[in-house]
Amino acid sequence: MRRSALTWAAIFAAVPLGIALVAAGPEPGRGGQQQPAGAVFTAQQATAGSSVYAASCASCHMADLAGRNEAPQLAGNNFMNTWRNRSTKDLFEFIQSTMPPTGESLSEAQFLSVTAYILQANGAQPGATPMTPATAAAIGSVAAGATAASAAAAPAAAAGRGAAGGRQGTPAAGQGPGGGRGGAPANAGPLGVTVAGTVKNYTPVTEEMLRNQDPGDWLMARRNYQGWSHSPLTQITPSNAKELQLVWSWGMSEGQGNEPSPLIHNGVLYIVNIQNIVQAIDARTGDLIWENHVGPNALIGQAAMRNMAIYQDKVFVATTDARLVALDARTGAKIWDTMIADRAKGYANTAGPMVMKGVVVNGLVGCDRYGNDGCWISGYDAATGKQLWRFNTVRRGTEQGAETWGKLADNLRIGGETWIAGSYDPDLDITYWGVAQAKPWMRASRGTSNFDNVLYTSSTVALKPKDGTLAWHYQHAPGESLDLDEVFERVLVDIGDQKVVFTIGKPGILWKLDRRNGQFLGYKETIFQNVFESIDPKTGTPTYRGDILEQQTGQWVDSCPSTEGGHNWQSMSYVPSSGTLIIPLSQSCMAMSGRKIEPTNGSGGTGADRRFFEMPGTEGNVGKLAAFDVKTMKELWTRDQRSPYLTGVITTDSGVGFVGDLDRTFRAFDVKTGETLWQTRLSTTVMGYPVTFTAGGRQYVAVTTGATGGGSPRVVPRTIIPEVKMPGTGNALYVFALPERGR
Amino acid sequence: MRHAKWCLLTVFLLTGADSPDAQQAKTYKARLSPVPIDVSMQATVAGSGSVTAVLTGARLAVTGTFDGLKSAATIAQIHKSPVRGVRGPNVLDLTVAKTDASAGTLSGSFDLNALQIADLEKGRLYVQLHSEKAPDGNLWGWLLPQENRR
Repeated sequence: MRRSALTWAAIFAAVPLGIALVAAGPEPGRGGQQQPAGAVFTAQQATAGSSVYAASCASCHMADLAGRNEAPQLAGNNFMNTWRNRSTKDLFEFIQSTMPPTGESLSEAQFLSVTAYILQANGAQPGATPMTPATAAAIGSVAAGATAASAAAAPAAAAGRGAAGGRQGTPAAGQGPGGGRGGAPANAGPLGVTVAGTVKNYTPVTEEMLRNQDPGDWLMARRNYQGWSHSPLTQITPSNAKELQLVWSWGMSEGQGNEPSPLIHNGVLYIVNIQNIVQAIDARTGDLIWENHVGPNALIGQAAMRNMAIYQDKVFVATTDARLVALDARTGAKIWDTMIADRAKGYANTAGPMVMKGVVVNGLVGCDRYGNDGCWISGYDAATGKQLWRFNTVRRGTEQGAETWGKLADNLRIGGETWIAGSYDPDLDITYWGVAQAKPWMRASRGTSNFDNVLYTSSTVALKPKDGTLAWHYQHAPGESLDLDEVFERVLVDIGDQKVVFTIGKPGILWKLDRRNGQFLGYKETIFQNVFESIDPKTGTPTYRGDILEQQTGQWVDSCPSTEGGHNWQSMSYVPSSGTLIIPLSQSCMAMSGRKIEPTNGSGGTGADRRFFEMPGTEGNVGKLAAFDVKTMKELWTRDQRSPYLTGVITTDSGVGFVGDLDRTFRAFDVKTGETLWQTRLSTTVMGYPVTFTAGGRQYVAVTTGATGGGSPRVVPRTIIPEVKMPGTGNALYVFALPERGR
Repeated sequence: MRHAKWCLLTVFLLTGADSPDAQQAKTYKARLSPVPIDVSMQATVAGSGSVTAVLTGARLAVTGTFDGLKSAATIAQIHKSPVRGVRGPNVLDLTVAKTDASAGTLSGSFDLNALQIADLEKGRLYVQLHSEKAPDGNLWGWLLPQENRR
């Protein structure tokens, strides 16, 4: 039995609070026929469970069971707060019915053993009687809830100490890829250049080339510094798009979310696979030129690596264990390898860098554990990898903005992740980044008040790339409290004399700011939302619904949209000829309930349970693709469908757009109307960031499929449109073009 | 030509299409889909349906169908939500008729007060159906205005 894409993380995060104990176990203290407290499994089961956990669970929940992002802690008080009043049978059945989200399912014995392992990690003692599917003891009666730190000594953590040899170069101590570093799973397999080759006639990428690209190139995330996701190419038109056909495809690594944006330079396609595998491919033929296992090879979490960067003779890739690595664009050989943050503390990357005037700027995720490190955007010398600056997105101590976190202790101020690469205005020399929300998600869980805006979360920050100084900031959702990120792409558009930055977050509100100073210019609600009762038309300051402000832990709060968004990581496209933004949107709602979170270092996480439902008034159409005029912000057209769109949108000067969806369909559409011009169905969900380019004078369109991962944009549909099914494997890159005769 | 116009007007009036009562008839529809769930709840909470509510004057006539439940339907009610998409207390009871263990119909007829009519017009009323395995709610859907149907 195979399960479709959904992380362990999301499943455990969805555990409902307050559900009555389904199968109450023997009451403690009665003696007689009941088992001794804790003796609901054997030591052999727990030992076997540690191996199962290491193989099937640790990539999301971490080897030390401390959790990461939506994968909650499985050992300690946070786990016990959720499960104390439920039974071991509940836990077993929950795991069996929902896990693992990817790959092969487990046997009943394996499910039992991993349940035993989790119980043991929470202090339950083994006994002589094996756990069976019928075993039903109240978890609070058999386990006390060991801390995450003590659980780190569990066998699964030991499994994380994998081999790290064989790779090129040697990072400084503590900077090695993955294996053996605290919470990272084992790192087996080859590292370094695994396929040797050389890109012929490579032309170094200059700053001028990044500003004014060759029409056939795609040199960065969303193609240009302004984040337009738009190409000037014109071979594929509305009239001939129906002739598009597959030219070549390339299988990609499996087992994790796959949503990369390829780079194209002079007919060579660079792409990052999951497991931090970077490849250079002949974009015309699909032949592999070189490959580097940058490491770690281990699967870490379910999130993908969304983009890379290219500058001069280097390709820059962020890794899932929070490193930044420069490779020789010609050969793939590693040039430098720098640690951004300590993976052992849960830090990671899911988005790569942007390069601006020789500075490589990267964000950071995994800032969701209580502790003293914080969260930041940082800049690095492109030549050496030396860190040049760091901008803290979570303000602490005496930093400017620290007072906006109220009385919350510095070590409890977490979140503020930057998981989408920023944009850049070379003329203003300002880079624009979205900062995600504070964590835990709900303010009732994190202990802030309604008066705490928690800077710089849920904000646009405008930074000087040279030194990371703050030019301005604008907070879209002060004190955000429902995991409704405002972290996504910033799109820079000039409207007459106005220099505008557009962005749209999960609430589905399209924000329009003056990118010179952050002044609010306007907004547009693109989908139904009931989170904000009103938005000040002069300042853009939203007023939250009363019951959101009055939230308590353990109480459900309903809201539209859900954590799927509105808008999510699938980027919009700007069509300069018509002044139109084409935005992939989603329509779903949720109920969220915050948990009580133990205020100790290492704790934290997202700390909330979620349930999802269809958005009223949408007829069950979760997907919405819509176009908006940048001047008036009026909706020009919309294309609603049952399945959500799971790729970014790209457009071309010839008036053709491309987008893919959950239900395996990749389509070309007319940017003036949204009408489908051509479509095909691929191996699994079409997920990632399409690109278009030329090689040998011919225009191509490339897009990836991703069988798993994707975050809430996959979790929510699995819950509310379960009839849409796709294979659990099939990660690949597909490249289309017109027939040769059509050129 | 003048004769033709009079004929048309006569037909129009005879059919009642332009009568005061008909003018006030407004139709509201709800798509029934599962209440908030997580994946583990799909085993007990599933199904779909539709509801049509016609408001004539203050009289609201409600009819609907549903199927695909995982257990037999029990009760159905109209609830008032503080804002569309947010749960609220039940205000009116509907009648449920089961056609089989997973499907059935619902109906009801009510005289609404002015406040209830305002709630209906603002999309604040929703229908919620319960079932044996989902006693806290199985399907729900907001009654939203449609074009007037004469």
